[in-house]
Amino acid sequence: MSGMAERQVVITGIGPLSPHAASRTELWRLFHEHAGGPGSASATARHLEQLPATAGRFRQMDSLGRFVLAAVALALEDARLEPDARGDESIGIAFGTGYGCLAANAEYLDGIRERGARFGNPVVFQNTVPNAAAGYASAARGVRGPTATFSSGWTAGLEALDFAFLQIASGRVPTMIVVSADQLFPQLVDGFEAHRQLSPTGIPRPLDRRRDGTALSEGACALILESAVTARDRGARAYAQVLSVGHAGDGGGDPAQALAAAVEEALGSAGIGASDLEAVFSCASGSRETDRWESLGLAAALGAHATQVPATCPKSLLGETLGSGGTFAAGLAALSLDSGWFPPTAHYGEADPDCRQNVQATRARRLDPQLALVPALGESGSALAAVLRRCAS
Amino acid sequence: MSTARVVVTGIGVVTANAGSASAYAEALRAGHSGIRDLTLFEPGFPFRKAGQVDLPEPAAGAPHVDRVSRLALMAAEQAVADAGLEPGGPILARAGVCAGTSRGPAASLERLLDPALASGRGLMREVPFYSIARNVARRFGMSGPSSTVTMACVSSSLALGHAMDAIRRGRVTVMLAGGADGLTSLSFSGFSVLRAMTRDTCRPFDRRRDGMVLGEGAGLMVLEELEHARARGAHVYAELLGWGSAGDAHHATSPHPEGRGLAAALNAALRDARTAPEQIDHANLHGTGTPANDPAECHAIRQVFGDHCARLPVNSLKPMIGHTLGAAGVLELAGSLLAMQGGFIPPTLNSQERDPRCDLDVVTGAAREVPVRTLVSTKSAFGGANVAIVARRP
Repeated sequence: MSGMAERQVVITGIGPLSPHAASRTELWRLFHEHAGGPGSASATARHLEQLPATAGRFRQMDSLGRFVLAAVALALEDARLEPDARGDESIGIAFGTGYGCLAANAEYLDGIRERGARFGNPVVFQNTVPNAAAGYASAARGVRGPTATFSSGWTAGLEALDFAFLQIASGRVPTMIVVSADQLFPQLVDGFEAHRQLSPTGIPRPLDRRRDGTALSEGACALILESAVTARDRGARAYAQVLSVGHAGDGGGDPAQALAAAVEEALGSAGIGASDLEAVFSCASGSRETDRWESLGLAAALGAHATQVPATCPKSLLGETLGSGGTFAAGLAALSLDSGWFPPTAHYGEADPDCRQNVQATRARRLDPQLALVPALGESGSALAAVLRRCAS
Repeated sequence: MSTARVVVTGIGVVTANAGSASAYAEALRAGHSGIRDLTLFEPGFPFRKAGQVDLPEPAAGAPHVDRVSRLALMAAEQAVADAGLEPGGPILARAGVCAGTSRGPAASLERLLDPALASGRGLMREVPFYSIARNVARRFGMSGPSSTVTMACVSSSLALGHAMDAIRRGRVTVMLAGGADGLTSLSFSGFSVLRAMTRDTCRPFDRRRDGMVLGEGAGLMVLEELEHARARGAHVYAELLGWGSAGDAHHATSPHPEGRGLAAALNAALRDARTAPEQIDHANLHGTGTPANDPAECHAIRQVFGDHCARLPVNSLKPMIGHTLGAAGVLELAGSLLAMQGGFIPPTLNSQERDPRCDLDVVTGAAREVPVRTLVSTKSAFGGANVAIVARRP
């Protein structure tokens, strides 16, 4: 890595999988038509059924693995990229998940509690590590480059993007798959419920004064990152450039300060000022606490511009997708930069004096942003922020 | 991209055979194994040996902190003290933490899911994998980047590489990096039903080998930008020159039979370190003692090092500490760095009858007193993940 020139990194493929969308075009239509909200797990399952069958040798995959493999397939298809079937060391994979394999762990533990330790199910056991899902995708698509899995809660997706960005920028490989996924399971939902984090109405109202909690959802989102030269040489369409990523922690203190530090690092690395930002793809989910942290953090990093720059909240339509939130937001930001359209925030109506962002409500509008910020923070004590730029046509 | 150099200035370890870095170095030189009968839980299998750590009971009434976080906190406190850093001081306040784990807070998850225990819901904040890094960062008030790597048995190796990159790219000057894993009934059962566990003893590279023995522990290292370390007069154990990771793209649990991904990770690490294979004096291997791992690993070593294998002593530390899963990478690199500082290579216990498919110069019997200037440590994992790290004596 040391001494190598920094490569420009672009996003050339977007593969979302949620209860509402199972392709880039469906995701974009969802935001244009302004209809969504957290969907049911069965809706995601239906999408999975309609996607090209996963190879027979991966029937042992758990649903997290199927989510990841499906999202990766969608992103590769969108990027018109096919890894060398014999094994491709020029492509790596970075995976982020908030709660990952906990469902498989629960299933395995239930089994040995019922039948005894000697009768554990080995097929389930192989899915009890978070990187199993990335391993399936790697094996299915012949991806043999750098690999990493992060389980940093709600920031895991952007952390995977940060890892992938560095692999390309430093010249280790020209192409990385970034994928993030989380699935819902009863104990997880119970845990959120026990901590009163879920909206009783089930309607996520990010940054709105009336917000009363998050609405959990599940899903996966994959992005294809490539060096700009590689993408250009193969004639790929670049949706946006990843300019920089910042990352900080809260040390047990103030999450808003951590976000501010991450944003400041991202702006500094990108060589831009706060006022250069023209769009924010917020991580607000409707949580009383987290939304306020984000507002305070952006205000600390961006100053007065935090209340002026147009902001949109993807989680108002997608729900809280946990570790996938950052990659969904980055994918949407890339589509917005590419198309010039800025997607709306659903269910937004009453401004909160504690959350003074300039929220884009009601419907998509033409904005033609050149630079967008994608922040992420959560309860893990970690905060990240990515800066994306419109690619020159 | 910055060209900062990264050095190790503090080491903290908690293993079955040692409770500190100095004790660990002595145990590795003496070939002292910490493998014994498991008492932490009833495993439910005739073979019940493991590398269990004697962990003090938490104080009565203390908030619940999972066993794996307690292991990590013990190692972190040692590393911070060893590096001469002041808890709550300005250097740690800006530092980051990167923790790797395979099973995470599995003991808390087991309690959370146990219908016989009513305390379940209160454990939810302790159950996520990120709780280890969060607990360490909170203990020392660290506001640098906080990361959690979950890549089975390469978790802490990748955590070290990721932390190294955070310093090299100029994001921070100090990182606390490594990992932890605790023994749990889930992993004991799971590896047993996969037939990955020995019924006798762990014998890496031996033709009689029949599996691994589990262990637990934690290792944290203070990684520091070289000039920063020099400026404050810190002791430097080693410089981390480079690292690499690569996937097998082969199978969920079995390594590629020719160690394809491991060879790629080794080549990537050597490239990153700007080091030729001939410059490596010693390779600390994964050496689990399973029938599948050891020959695949040796095949990769032969492929990368060729004729240099004749001058490349290799070893496995697992017969002494057990397979500590996500902590294996940092604990075995830490052991190798301590040994490099002491001028020896630790032995591979129980390895007596060489498997012809593992025809490398395996250090067996007793520690080999030999100067090592540059070494590589390799680890492999479920999901076909492989990581290699190259380090050099200062």
